[in-house]
Amino acid sequence: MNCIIYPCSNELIPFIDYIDKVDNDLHIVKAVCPVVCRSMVSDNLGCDISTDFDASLEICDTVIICDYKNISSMYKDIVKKIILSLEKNKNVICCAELDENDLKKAYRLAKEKKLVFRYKNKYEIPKVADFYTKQESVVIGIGSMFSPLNTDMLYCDLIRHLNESGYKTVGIGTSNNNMLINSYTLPKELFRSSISSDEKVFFLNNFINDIELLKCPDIIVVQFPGGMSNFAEEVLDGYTIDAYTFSQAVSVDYFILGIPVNVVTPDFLPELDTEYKYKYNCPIDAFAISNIEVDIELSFDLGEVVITTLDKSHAWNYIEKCSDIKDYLFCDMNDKSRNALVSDFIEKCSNNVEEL
Amino acid sequence: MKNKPFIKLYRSPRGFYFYDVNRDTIVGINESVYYYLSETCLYEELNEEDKAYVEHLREKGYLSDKRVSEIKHEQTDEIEEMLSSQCHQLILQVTRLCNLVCSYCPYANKTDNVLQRNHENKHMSWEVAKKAIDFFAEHSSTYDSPSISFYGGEPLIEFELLKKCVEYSEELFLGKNLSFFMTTNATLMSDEIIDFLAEHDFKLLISMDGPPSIHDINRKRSDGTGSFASVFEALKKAYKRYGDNAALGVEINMVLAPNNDIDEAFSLFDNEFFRNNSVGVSSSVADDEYLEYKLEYPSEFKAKYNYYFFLAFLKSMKLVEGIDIPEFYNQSMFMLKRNYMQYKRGINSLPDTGCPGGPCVPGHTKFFVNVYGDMFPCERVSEISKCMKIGSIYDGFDYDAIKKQMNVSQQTSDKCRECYAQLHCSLCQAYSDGGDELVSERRLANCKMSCSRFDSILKTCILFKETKTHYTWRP
Repeated sequence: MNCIIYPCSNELIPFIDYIDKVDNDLHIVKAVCPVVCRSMVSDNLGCDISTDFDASLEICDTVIICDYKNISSMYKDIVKKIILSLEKNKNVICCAELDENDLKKAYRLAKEKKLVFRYKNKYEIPKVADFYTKQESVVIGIGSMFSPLNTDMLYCDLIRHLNESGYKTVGIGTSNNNMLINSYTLPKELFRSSISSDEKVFFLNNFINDIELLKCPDIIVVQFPGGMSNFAEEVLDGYTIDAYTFSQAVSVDYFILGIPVNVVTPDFLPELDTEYKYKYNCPIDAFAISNIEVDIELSFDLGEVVITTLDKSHAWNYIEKCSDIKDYLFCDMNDKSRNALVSDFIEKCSNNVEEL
Repeated sequence: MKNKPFIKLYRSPRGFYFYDVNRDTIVGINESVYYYLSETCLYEELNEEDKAYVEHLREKGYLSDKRVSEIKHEQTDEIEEMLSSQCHQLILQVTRLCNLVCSYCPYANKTDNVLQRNHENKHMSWEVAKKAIDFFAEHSSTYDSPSISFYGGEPLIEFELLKKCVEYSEELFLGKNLSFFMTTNATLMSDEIIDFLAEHDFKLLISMDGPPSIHDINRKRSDGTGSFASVFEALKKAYKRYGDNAALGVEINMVLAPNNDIDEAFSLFDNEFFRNNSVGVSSSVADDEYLEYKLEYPSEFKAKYNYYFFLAFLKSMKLVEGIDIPEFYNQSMFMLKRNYMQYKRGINSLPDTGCPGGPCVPGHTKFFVNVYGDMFPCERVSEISKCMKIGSIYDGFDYDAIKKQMNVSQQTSDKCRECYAQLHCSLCQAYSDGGDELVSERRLANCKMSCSRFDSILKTCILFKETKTHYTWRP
């Protein structure tokens, strides 16, 4: 399928990179974004970028509507573009949330025109939980120290590397765009619901186990929702509640924590390891350093964690400085470093993973 | 004392403290150390324990005598880059006309265009509005959550222009988290207008000074009739129309003027509507900065105002139950507690290059465009003053003017470098407005007020601390 992606943003880079490198039925010919967002989109998206949706529609047979942080402000526009795409006989893959009525309208139109309309699976909170079991597959957990720190690149790349290495790997991540990489999205509605914490843990456990039964993977890569460390008492970052709830539902065999550059010191990282071991039952096997820095002063001013993106070389420079704990550290933005991370994981979990 | 520490001493009935300027934090000390730091006694007269404590403080970085070497705003060199793509908010003066003649309004023919412009029959054209919005779009290209505010006069007089601006902006800023704000007297809010504002998620600030007996004293139409009835009707309709979003979308602003009885003003909140809905309320005393005469607040007014603040304090510290006070006092308590946390946290040291906290970074957080397309740092400065202008939508930002405003404290650098309240100075560049140029005299004249405000905040923080530690008995 020749596809265009809308609305494109830097959030999509990991997914576009995955689609580009993996042999699948999707071939992205253009990424489209609104005019005013163009300067915020990196030129290294991995494909041509355009601001003209109508012209881009002419060169594709499928439109991928991606999820995006400001999607709620664009909702009417998104629905308009879906309907337009279907009316112009294009297949549609929709990762964004649609209202019931708009969804029915899209399905009806697609059926009339005999087109493909793929929508993310809607999660319904079950009435009754199945019994709690540990996962049989090897589970890699990826967490972010603070919620604005994005680990999608590491997540997508890890899934791809492991699949290429011959291990059947499936992902359960936080982004709604997971369906583009044949993976699953954590049910956010479960975290927001008013059911008890016990039930949330049970239902999350069932959710993961159902995927395991369906896909029979060798490895499951899961992303923890939200931040996993408290920044400060008066700075809201969810207070790690979602991450803790999730940690009770899943048994992680190898855990990677994404951290910003300004926490990398030889003393601090082992302390973090101890904290996570006791708090989440997830001792940290590897730290993935992003080229991200927390703006401490602005975070206190605004009452939320604020991050700044740095030059790519920053993260690598920090690793070079910490020679004592180099084995722990991997650079999220460096291919060689990511390969080393995969090797480290395979070595540590080789007893669990079925060798090919 | 050699190398006199850069501190300010305070004492309360229960303790002794110093505010360390370099660490931006409050430290509790004993009486002997207090007298030593106030140079009433010598170091040699301290006992060994106190000497050790003073040395311990010095080791931890307290009691430093460091001053800022160069007064310069830390973002001076980056300002052009910042304003090229990181502007946050545009304020559009859609009209200079108003249908009310509020007695404390600086635009209501008070200064005859000497200190501030008057209300007049001038409106922003669509060409100017569009150009301003395009300019803003270009200069907020890498900022994710831009916002556009509408101002006047009374902005709803130009509702058709406002509608056009909103529809144009929503298309232009598609993909961004765009939001709209408006301050209005609400006398012109028809059902059609309310529907439009709710549909486009406007955040409204409605001016309402109190019940009719208070509101109608100062907020009158040109024929002398009061405006309360229509404002209240509009507020209720807006609240109903906004539904679940009302608490976040509709707020009232209460101006407390010297001729208002505060108790009577606050009796507004006894009304059933306010009892049944958690309406956001902000409040301010009438601003006389651009009036020819200064407003004199009677002592009874000040006493009552402070008394409510005292009640808010008792309530927030859970010392007394069942206190009913206006919501904005709870807000001010929240801000004070935030200050308290900030002073607990502190900083490492004053920078070598820095400037007092007062002036904003013009254009970055917001910029105001008047009907002619001239740009100013905000809607509160004088549009008559040449020195307040920061450019125009035709010529772009005037970076020289902007840098001058950012570094206004360079004119008073000797005084500012020695000021203990420098990190929390509340004197923005408007306090240096000398018409054609920025002047130091006005700024210096307001110094005492800024320091006094800071003292008040610090003393309240000390009171927070002492209340938590000393008043442990609860009935």
